[in-house]
This record gives sequence, C-alpha cells and structure tokens, in this order.
Amino acid sequence: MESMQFETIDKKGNKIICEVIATYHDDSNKDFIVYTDKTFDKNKQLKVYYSLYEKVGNAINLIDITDSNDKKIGLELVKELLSKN
Amino acid sequence: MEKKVNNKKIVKYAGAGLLAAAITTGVVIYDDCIEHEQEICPITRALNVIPDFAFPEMPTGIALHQLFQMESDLVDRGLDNVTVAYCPGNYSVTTGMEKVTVEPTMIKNEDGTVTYTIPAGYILKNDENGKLVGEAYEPIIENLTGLKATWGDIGYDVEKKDFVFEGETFLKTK
Repeated sequence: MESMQFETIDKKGNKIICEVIATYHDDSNKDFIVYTDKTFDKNKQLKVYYSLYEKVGNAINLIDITDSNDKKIGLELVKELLSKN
Repeated sequence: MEKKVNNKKIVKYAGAGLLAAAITTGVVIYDDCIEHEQEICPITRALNVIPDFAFPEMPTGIALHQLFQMESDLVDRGLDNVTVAYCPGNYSVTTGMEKVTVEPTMIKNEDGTVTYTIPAGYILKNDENGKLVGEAYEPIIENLTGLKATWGDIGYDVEKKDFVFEGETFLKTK
C-alpha cells in the first residue's frame, strides 16, 4: 500500500508528521481522512484521528467537522476500518 | 440507520498497517483536527468485549459513548427535552396508548327494558359499524432493558436503534 504522510501542528505548536490510514470521498463531495500521529495515550492506545480534509498540491489541510452528519460518516468510516482488521 | 459509508470508496494507505497492529493493544479515536483533541472513548472495547450490563452505576467507554450518541441523534431529530439513561435490568415503561373495546353485557329487566353494562373506565358508544361497544384507552407497556432514551413523558426503548458503531453486542443484556 502506498504511504501517505502529512505535516501538521499540534496544540503546543510543534510540527508533527501524521501517517494517513485511509481516505474516503463521500457522495456529497466531501473528503474524509483517518490518520494517526503514531503516538499513544496513557493507556498505551494508539491515537487515531478522523477529519475532513482538502489536498492542496502535495499538502493536506485538515478541516474541522462541524456537521453532525459528517461526524457520523467519520465515525462509521473508522468503524469500517477497525472491523476490517 | 442507513449505512453512510461505501466500503468500495475507502482508499487505504500504509498507515492501515499501524492500525491493524494496534488493535489488540488498543486504539483511541479523536475527532476533529489534531489541534482540538477531544477523547471519545476506547473503541477497541467494541471489537473484543461484550459489555455485561450488570454494571456499576455509570457506564463507561463504549456504553457512555453510545448514550451520548443517542442523545445527539435524538436532538438532531428535533426532539426537545431529551434525556438518556442507563437502566440495568428489566423495567417497564409506557410507550403509548391503544384503544380497546369490549362487548357490553346485556341484561333484560323485568319491566322489559334492557341494561347494558361495561367494565369501569369504559365508555358505552356506537362503533364505526353502529354496534354498541364499551371503549377505553389503555397504556401500552413494554418491558425494557439496557439503554433508554426519553423525551417528554414517554419512555422509549431504542435498543434496536442503529448506532454509528453498530453492533448488537453493545446492546446485549445480561
């Protein structure tokens, strides 16, 4: 599988490299992304994120999910990825 | 609930390998951009563990997430005063009212008149066919377990509701 990474900024202003797990183009023409920063929480669980995104050239810009339906799609996407593993 | 994601349109990348490797140890899901970390719950419990509903007072993890999701879904549907509750064990709730009819008992009196009797709480009236009946409204009682959402004065069992993290195992009762 192809590797896709992108750079983003965490809350502390540090640049971090995230690894893309999957993308999904919705029928409503929205693009969803599931990714990880490859870090673990205090319970040693991998942190996985989902968001909307847009690709600008080679860069990925994350977009806040504000719509409840988009949130449902994002969660279902994560569920599908987890269940297939 | 209608499925929202078409599996065929999911494009996986090498990061999926990290996800696969992490499932046994645990995965925590965050929504929104990484700058707005907001923990939802440990999702792996959904994969490996069937919650035993003989729990503590407050559910945690996936059950709590489901309660929040239930409330969110109901609010999105425009329902006011939505509350969700976790109810272990069996309980009864009124989910509606239904019309019931009985045939009145006819008594012929000595003076030739006829008296119709019906149970208490019923009203004697003609039905749509002109037949004399006793009519009343009685509550519909359901025995419920597990998760419960209520609005107004009526409680509903949303056990069959389709959650984002779909899985009957989450709703399994003891």
